[in-house]
Amino acid sequence: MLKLKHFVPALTIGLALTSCGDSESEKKEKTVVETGSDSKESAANEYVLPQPITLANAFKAAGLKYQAGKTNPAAREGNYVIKIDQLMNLGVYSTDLAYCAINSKSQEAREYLAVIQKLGAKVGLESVFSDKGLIAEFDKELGNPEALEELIYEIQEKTDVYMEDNDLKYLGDIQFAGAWIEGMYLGIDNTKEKSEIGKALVEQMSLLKNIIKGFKSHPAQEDARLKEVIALYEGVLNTYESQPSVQKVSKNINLETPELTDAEYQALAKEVKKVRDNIIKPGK
Amino acid sequence: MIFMKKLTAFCLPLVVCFCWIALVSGGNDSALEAQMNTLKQECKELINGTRYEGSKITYFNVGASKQTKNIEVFMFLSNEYQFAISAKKCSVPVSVKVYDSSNDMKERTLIKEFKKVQGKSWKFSSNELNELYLKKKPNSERLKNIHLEYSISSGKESKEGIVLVYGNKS
Repeated sequence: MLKLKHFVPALTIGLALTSCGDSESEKKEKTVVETGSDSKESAANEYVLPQPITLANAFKAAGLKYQAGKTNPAAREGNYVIKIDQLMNLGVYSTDLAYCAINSKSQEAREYLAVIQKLGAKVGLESVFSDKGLIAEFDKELGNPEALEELIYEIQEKTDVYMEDNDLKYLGDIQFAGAWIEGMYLGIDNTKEKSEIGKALVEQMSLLKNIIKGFKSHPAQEDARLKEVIALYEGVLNTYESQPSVQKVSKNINLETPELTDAEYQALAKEVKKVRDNIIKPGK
Repeated sequence: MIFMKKLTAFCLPLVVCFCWIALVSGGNDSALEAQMNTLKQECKELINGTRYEGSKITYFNVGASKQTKNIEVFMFLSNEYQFAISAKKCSVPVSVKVYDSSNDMKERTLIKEFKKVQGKSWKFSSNELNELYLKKKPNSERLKNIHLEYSISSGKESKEGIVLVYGNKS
């Protein structure tokens, strides 16, 4: 029989210890920065990243045409052994899937879906991708690009919801970083002749700061590969922000989109290709 | 032997207390998360017919100070975007302001403000935002991103949240 004289001090110690923990987490939550005379603001600025298929659609709307052989070959999937590389390439393949689907390259899209299922299982998203009916449903809609698009949006929604429900948003951010660089890579080669594509590309540069923020929210900040990848993405941002055409306009993309000169585009293209190469061929 | 008995007698209630406290505090968080997920579902239904673009559940502790939370969302397509927000799980006055840039910019334009939205779920669209924005900034094309600012008043301590879901129309 438990004695009350033991229970009371135990309860007191227990409450004291747990309340210490509470106040610590509350301190973090309540870190506030003064911004005005009578209001206080949380230090956290959040963001919602768009879907890779939306980025691909934005490029398509700007006039980007499908170019065979530009996407990352599905056969490389087995080369990605580190989790960060698997996540980044899950993103790369998500963009490739979208790029093929919206350009009516259904067989290629199907191949990428199968690769995404495999990589998804490797990074812990089995429950999202284990649905065997997914490929069957995809096959059923192969001749219908619009239905394929809807299906891709659904898959991305499932992934998003799973990550949010399981506090894995930082994994989603890394996946998105791969999706973004692939989209930029697919778009950048065409910028020479198509000014609208160039504009779409510059608009999508506005995502980069949040992508870097996402990397920096990953718990394994000491990981050598993560550090390397962050430095690469920061290289793209620095190259872009140092361009005179970017510096002379407002940073508000709703008001003005910088028009890069050819030389500036080439500098940006070089950085994007360098990062994309590093992501799809890690260790090379 | 007596020492071991006393130690067990002391430690056992301690363990029971820890388990109970963990269960109660974790349970509260889980209950809130479950409520927020229900509201998220409600938001999705509000913008039924759009393709899911993203969502964000913003949690905060209501306390002695006013606070703001900022969320940036992107609209790269020229299609119509629809936004659904639920502040049903807010006990204190909340307003949502829509700006064209972040709060660290020297100048930004307030596009629309939704006042006293606590206890409500509602939707709005990029079409109305674009219309309002073009009146204020006639040289702009259309909005490519917006910054939502939740202004949360002070009040009795509690953990609460706001849900945002948005999608685009094909």
